[in-house]
Amino acid sequence: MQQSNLKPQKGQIIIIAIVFFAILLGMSATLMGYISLYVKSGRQEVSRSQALHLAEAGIDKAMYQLNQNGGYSGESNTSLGNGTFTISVTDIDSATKKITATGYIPNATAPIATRTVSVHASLSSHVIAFHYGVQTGNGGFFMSGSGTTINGSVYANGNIQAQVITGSAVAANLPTATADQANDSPTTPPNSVIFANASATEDFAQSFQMSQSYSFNNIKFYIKKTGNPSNATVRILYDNNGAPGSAVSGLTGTLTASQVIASYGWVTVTLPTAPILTAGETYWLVIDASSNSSNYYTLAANANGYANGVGKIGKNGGTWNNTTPSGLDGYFQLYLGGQTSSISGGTIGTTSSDVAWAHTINNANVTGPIYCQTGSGNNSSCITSRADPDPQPMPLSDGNIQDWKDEALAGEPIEGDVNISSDTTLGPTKINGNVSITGGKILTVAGTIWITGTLKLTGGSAIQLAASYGPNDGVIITDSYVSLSGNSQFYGSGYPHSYPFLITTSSCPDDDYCSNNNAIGFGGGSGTVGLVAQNGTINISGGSALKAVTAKTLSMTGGSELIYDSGLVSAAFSSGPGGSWTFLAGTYVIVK
Amino acid sequence: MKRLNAYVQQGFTIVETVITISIFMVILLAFFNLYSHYNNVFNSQQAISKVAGSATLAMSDMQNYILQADQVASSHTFSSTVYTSGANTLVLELPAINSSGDIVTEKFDYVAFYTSGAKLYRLLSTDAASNRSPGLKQLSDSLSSLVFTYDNATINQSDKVDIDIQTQAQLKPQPMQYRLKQQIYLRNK
Repeated sequence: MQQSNLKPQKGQIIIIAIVFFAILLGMSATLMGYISLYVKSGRQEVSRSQALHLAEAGIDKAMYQLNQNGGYSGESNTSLGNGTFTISVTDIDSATKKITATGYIPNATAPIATRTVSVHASLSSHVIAFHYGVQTGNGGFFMSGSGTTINGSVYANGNIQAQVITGSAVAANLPTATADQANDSPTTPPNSVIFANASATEDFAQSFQMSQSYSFNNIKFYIKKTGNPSNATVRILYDNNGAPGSAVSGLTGTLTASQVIASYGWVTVTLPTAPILTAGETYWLVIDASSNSSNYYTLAANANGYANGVGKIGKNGGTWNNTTPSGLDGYFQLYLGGQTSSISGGTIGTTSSDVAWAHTINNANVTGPIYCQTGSGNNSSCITSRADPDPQPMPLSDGNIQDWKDEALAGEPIEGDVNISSDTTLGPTKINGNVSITGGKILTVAGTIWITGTLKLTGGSAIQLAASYGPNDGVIITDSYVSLSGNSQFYGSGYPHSYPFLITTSSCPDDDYCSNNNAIGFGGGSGTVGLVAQNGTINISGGSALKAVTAKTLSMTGGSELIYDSGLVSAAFSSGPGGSWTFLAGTYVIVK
Repeated sequence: MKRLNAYVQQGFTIVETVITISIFMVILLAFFNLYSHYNNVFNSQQAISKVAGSATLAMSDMQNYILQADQVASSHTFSSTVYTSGANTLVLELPAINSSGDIVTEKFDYVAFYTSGAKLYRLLSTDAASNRSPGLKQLSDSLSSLVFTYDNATINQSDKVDIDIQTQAQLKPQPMQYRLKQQIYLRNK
């Protein structure tokens, strides 16, 4: 065997390869590191964005939970999508909570990204001030019966007949009489209506609507006579499908024939101050005369000159026809208000700052000063230096009423009468019918309720606000009368100063449909409730304990007692169904 | 057995030298090409990272402030310089916050996002009661375009702001661009 004797060569290719690959590896590592950093940065940014959205989702959930349960305090590590969130709810005050939500990606234990958002939630509300325990319109305020007491102050745009008022009592004059309605142009009347000359044309009627619910002062007619007709009676009648209906009790005056001459002139007919009619409703003023073909009246008229009514010719209690030509309106001027008001009787005030203030004050025992122009039988003399008080606007506007009705429309309407004979929760809803609560059962108001018919409580039944109202007040509004009898109970939401308010737009008992029922009749009961009937009469009897009452006319009898709550100066009503918790704009903060 | 006699070489032949140099030239060329390609990829990745990161971070920063704003301010004076909201400038009013992260009522901070050439800045002016840190911060130096669009012709009544941001880096043969668009609602309005 031949032995090879080759000398090993000194090769370098392996070294070159190693160097080459080392450089390549280094470059690759650098590049991969850069790419990795870029990807990581991108992922981090996506995670931060996801965490922010999770935190906002937490805020939304907290808001939902608060509206299901006002005591909701938060939750921890709730999974959603790629992460989790934690919610904390703390009270700032009774109407405000702070919600803090933190979103974690992927979890709170080892988060890639964490974002925290905080907001404030509040019970939305609007504030309406009830400055007085009792405020009445020009119908006045009448107390009777031993022990009948107002624990608070009274402001009436009319007369006050007092028993015991622990605060001040103010009876304001009505504004100076002005022509609320008129049809009196052109000065030379283009048309005329002859009446009192025959049985079929014995009487004249003119429909009208008042712009304000003030007491009558007088009516003037632009009228002349032929021969020597008798005096005529001027009456105010309800409307009956476009024609004069039944008479409004007590509202009559006399057109004195001797004041009417053979040529046109304005003749005044004075009317009683009560009852007070409802603004915006159609009534008829009727000149009820006797007929004689030689002795009759001629009323100046024009064609469609009065927008709020029309003239009719006929016989009161009989048939009414259109004028000839049809559409004539008689010349008239309707004057409202202008009367001075008075306070009579009673014990008023408990401190020297409690005053009695009216144009006339008689037979009153007042702790503080008596401001009046005339008076007698009082425990001190009239201080005449202070001018008569001016009437105050009522606390609720038509807009407030409409807002509540709109809130009620947010819920499903209920058609027909509702008889509640077991504990029931309603609202927001509009009930097209009557509602009665019987047998001591409880209606829980979860949102504003609008009842187009009547509301009746009997047998110790109760109305209470749902807990979701928090510190706010809630409303049941009706378009007809309210009857509360048999120890009716009223409860707020459980928070201090939270009350149910029963509000009626009814003008009862002045309208046909009232069947002599007052707008609100409260025959006894307990609890915290506000009663409002700005167009009608509230009658309170039988030891009732109330918080605030506002009405056109108010009467309290039988030892009833009203306890005014100073919180009603700024009564906060829930805005929106159920007084829901809502995000308070301006409080969103990204904490981190 | 015949024995082979080894001998000792004294140098490289010309052939060996030429071959060796040729091999090294090939290796160097490959290495140069590799480096050149790597350099292109590296620059490209760096540009992507820069323009994307710049746009994303700028968008995130603007989102952070828009969410907390209670209104788009028509204009505001920052140290005697007036900034007016428009297509390229956004001025926001923010409820001031205290050290606990709670709103300080009736106190406001103002922030302006504005451009200068390829740079995007955020300028923050704070109320004395605020816990935010005032000052100027550069959010991007690779801005190509930035357009703010409002949902109301009266800018300070806007509920949301649309942001269209585009960043750019110079690369051969063509520039690298990155574009982000986002609608952001003012939570505090």
